[in-house]
Amino acid sequence: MNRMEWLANLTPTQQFVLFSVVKIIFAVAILMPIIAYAVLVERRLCAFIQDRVGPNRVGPFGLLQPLADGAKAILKEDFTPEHVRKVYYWLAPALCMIPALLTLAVIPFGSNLGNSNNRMVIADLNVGILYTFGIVSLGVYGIVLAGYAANSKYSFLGGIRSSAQMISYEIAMGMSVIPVFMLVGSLNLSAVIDYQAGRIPDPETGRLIQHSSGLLSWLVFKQPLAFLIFLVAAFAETNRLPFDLPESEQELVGGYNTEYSSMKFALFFMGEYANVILSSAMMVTLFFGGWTLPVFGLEQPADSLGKGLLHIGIFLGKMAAFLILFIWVRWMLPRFRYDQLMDLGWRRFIPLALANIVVTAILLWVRA
Amino acid sequence: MDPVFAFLALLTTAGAVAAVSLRNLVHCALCLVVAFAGLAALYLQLNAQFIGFAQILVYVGAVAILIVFAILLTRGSEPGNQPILSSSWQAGLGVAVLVLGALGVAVASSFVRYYPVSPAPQPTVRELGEQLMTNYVLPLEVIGLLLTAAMIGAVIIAMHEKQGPR
Amino acid sequence: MNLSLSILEFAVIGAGLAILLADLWTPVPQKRNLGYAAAAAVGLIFLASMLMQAAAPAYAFEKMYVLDGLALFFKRFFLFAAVIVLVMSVEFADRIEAGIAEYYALIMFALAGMMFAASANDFILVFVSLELITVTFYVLTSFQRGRLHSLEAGVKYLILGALASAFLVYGIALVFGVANTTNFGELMGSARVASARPVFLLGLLLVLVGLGFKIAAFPFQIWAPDVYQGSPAPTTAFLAVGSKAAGFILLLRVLFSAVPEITVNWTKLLMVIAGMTILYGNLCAIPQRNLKRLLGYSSIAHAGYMLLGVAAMNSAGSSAILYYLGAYLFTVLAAFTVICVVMRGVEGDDISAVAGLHQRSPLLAASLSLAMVSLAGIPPLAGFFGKFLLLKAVVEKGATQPGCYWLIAVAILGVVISLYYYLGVVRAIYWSKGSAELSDIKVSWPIQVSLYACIAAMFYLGLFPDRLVNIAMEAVKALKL
Repeated sequence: MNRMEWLANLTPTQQFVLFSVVKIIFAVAILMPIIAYAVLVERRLCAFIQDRVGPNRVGPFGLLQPLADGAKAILKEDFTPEHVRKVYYWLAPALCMIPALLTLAVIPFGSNLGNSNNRMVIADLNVGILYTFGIVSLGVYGIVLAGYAANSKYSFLGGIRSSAQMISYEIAMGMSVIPVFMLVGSLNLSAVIDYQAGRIPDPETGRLIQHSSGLLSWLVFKQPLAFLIFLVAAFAETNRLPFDLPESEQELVGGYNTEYSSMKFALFFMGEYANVILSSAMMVTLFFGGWTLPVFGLEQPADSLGKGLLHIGIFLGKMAAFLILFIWVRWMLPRFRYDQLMDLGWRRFIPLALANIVVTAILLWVRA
Repeated sequence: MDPVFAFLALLTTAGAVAAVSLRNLVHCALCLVVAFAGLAALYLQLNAQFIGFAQILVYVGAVAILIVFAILLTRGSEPGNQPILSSSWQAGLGVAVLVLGALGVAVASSFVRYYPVSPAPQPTVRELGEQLMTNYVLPLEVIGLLLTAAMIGAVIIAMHEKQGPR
Repeated sequence: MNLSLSILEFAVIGAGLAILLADLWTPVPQKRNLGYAAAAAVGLIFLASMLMQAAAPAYAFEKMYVLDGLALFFKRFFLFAAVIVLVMSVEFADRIEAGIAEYYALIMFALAGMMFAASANDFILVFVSLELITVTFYVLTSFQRGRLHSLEAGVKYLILGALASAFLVYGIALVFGVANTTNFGELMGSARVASARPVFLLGLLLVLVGLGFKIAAFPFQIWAPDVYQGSPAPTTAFLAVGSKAAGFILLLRVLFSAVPEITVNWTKLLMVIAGMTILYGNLCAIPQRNLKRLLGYSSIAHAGYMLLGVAAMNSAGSSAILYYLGAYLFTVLAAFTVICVVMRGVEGDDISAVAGLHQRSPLLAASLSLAMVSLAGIPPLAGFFGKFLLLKAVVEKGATQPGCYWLIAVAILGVVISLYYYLGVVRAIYWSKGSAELSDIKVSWPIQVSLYACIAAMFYLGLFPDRLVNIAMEAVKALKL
């Protein structure tokens, strides 16, 4: 293995930098096509639900449609209306996209590729979930600034709506996952996956001990209420139907993105889809065992390259299932009214999430 | 001086100064966001991950966005007509320079600077939580009561006038 | 950990939460009567506190919380003040548009903050309990948000209070940075090493700024008149008594329990502050026509008198502060209770509103007059003996610090000035001509009871001061003087 020798000769820092860069490139290279094809799936699925055909002309089964969409977005005239606030107008689409990409950093999307030191996560922070929530909470700036920058009624209302909605549901979302971490005993996302695979750290030594595991050790079965609240809050956080009031085409003409065109417009949508994908990834990690499967020894970290790739595949597969769910819901449910949305968030989910925390605490206390 | 620290310190200070000196309230609020974010980055630079991300989550993600929200809802985005500096700004500047000078002299003349830099402790979230729930549980609970009182107050002050007593 | 030490605070918080909950099931017309329930609950806790003993200091929460004679004295003080303030707020209830039950609950939360402050033995608890008091008062001051004055009071208190908190927390950060501890007990050991360090001193000075704001000492007094004037009367009363006393207990603890070695070098500083505060408060009070604003300036002056006891730096001075606060409690509460009753429907709280009060209600007239006379420091009322004790303590100090005699001269000058405006109020009550309103004022029985109690206490403390003086002497043994 002559080719690998230079790798072993690098200092640990250099290795770390190299592997991180590779992982970042890899993760973004995977994310971007998923975004593109999520749009295609959305259009095909929506057509299917509405008994239409959908885009099927570009390439076989319309598979090249995303390329055409991308080319169109880039080649269209990038028009900046006269009445907008220029700096914010340029900043807003980027601010929509950046948090979504940043969140990617802490998601463990696989076990490892042969070498057991390289876990398939860009940054294995011990406050992973706090990082996720911190960065996700920044997403609202893009939308609010877009609403403010556009300097027009529809955009402004969209911006205001979204900030109220996202702040409200962030609370419910944050509270819903607290019981999960009370069970796991760590904020690290890899630890959450280990827990679901039955690898629980020993209280004294801190070393992982393998317990028996199975499908039922997935947190979705241990904390179904937490999952439900998280799921609904994820819909609200990503501004998807039935909670897409910031956009609501019928009343707000598209809301915060009304005044945008061309690639800037596309960036908003890429940001939205990236958020949907990351919410799916979070749900897979937190509640559905991440890259593990409780069969064929797939809950153990990989010892070979093939198994490592299989883990990544499992992760992507679970994520795709959630993507389909997001899309399906969009075309099946009508939009909520604004007061219903707020009522649901503040008067149903937050008390429920609080009760869930208390009940979990009592259960843990009784057991201890 | 560490260049990263210097940059972050400059960014935080500049954000804070801009937040109090710009005319347009929306710009002020966004500069405040920059100051908060700079502070969070300083915490992260000190390896205090928990407090750093908590700062982002609470201040950048919630407090500042609420301020922006409130400014957008009221018509505060139009710049006011009164001058930014109050008439007694020289006195204020004088006091500020005096305090800064006193602090600078105090720091320079004490041997705080020559302390050996002890390696920063890197408490895990679990250790932080244990401290908060044992030794510091009283202040924590008092803060809980404080927030309750503040929330009641916010509701009372914002409650709709015509509604009368519930 | 010894939870039972802070049982009084927990009882107060529990009662406050119970009032909030009870509000949900109380029909609107009965809501104001929840105040009587709250007062009764706090009264019971006050009686229970009489059963508690604190011969030796007992610590809880890693020595963050201390229960000694001093803490217990102040807890009883705050509890008693809260009872009267709650009765007063029932009287005030119809002037508050919405949320009267929340008003009672917030008073009780502020009370809990003060009681925690009385037991604070760590800068963290100092900061947190002071914030609890201050944040609650932001709301209590602006509770009549329909009135411009109340809003003005709230906003001014908020902005200046936030500034003072910033100073306090910055000072604590500097102290912690040097001493590597926030606990008063450990600071004692650490301060010896640290006393040479200017940064530590600067930090302590900034802490003093934060506390000086609480007690409205010169030059941090600017907020007091506006806030006293604009706030609802029960809030002002609680601010004048409770918040100020909380500032003093913390001042005593920081100066004489945390860093006594450093404090001895600060005699001159404290003397100057005390003298300036007395002069500022008394001189500015002279032209005031608004009764609450006048009491605001007078409260600054009284903070100055009490600072005399701090500057004296002996146990006589500190116990005199405790005695003075006891006297001040009954006097000020009596005054504000009368204001609360008389100023119903009067805009501006002008002194002319009390004109002819002796014809409308002899009890109110007598109470307000006695309160003014006691504040002025005329024998045989409680206020006189308090000032006497303070001056005596400063005279004792004078043996080593000749500047003290100047301070005594300033204090006596202040008393003479104050006679003018306090007696001006008494004159308005009995000898003013041509008052428009001469209808009888009905005084409800709880108000009557609290007024009679205050009057009795003013006389009792003035005529038989021994008991309270002994208690105060016993209490200040907790300080390292």
